[in-house]
Amino acid sequence: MELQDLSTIWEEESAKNANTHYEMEEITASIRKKSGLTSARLQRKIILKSRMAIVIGLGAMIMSPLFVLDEGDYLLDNLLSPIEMTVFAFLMGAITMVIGIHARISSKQIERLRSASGDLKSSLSQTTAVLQRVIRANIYSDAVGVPFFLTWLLYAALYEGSPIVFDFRLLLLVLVPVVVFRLNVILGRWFQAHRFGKYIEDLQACIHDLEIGNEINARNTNLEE
Amino acid sequence: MYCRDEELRKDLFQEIMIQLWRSYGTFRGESKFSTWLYRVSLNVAIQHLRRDKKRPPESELAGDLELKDPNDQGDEERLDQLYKAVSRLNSAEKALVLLFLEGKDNEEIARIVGITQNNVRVKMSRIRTKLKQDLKL
Repeated sequence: MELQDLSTIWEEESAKNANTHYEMEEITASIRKKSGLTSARLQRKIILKSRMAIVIGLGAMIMSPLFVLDEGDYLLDNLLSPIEMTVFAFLMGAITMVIGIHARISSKQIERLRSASGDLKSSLSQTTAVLQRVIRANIYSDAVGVPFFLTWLLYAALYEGSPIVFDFRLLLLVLVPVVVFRLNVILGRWFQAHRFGKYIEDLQACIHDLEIGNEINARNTNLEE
Repeated sequence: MYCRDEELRKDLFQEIMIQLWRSYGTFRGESKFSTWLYRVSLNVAIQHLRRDKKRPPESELAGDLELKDPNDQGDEERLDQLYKAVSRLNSAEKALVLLFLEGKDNEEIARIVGITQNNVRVKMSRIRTKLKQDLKL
């Protein structure tokens, strides 16, 4: 059997299916259904994260002056002063907002990729590059919150209202969040690799397969020269 | 060609419809409509591939499979033969075979896939060899 025989079978099958009719409702329903592509699933997660981060971040920034204005009982009252609480809440809110806005930009990038109509090879290369970038950003944005929160708690516990001095406590204040951040990044990498690693590997394998012929071509051209 | 399973095929059809719908705005008439259509569809098909971990493995060809003349066989059997023939090809090769079966010439295949015409020729020749080896011709 040759490719030409396959071609004959294909032509006959295509001719048989040529009159297949799709109802408009069926097509519209298809378009409205949630896409199951890995990139689409990743995008949906990012959109959710972005919305939540923007709302929480904005809320925290707006509410942060309350700690100074309203002298009620707060959870961290015995650790942080009202001003420290305000600064802490404002900064946490700002960081969360930045993460949310960044997630929104990532989501737009994925959206553009999903509707890309470039040639196969460049679409695959772009998809791989953007997904890797988005996943990396996801890892770091997920990892930054806990160390920041920990820094404040450590600061409150170590200094208890006294001014910062250069001693062992300061070393702890810097080292502990850095170590926690690194651990979070390692954990995040493993988690993301577990979820999306295989998919990216498959796309890379496909790009590699498309490039193999180019290498052979280049080698042949060199030999001819 | 990218999935024989009925449910997966429906999924793929849906994906392609979604992406064609979304991408329609990017069609600027710089290429033939069919070229644009194949580009979007192939991008989706390849990105759809291996998404589902629960998907059953693609059928392997029996080493001693004897293929008869395509004209002597029933429709289903002939189609089965076609799918078996391409099941061992990788996703990139499947894209090339699909375009070849759709009657595209090397120039258009190169434009859709984004490789040179020389590369298309090299790859098609490799695919022929692979098919011959796999099908014990």
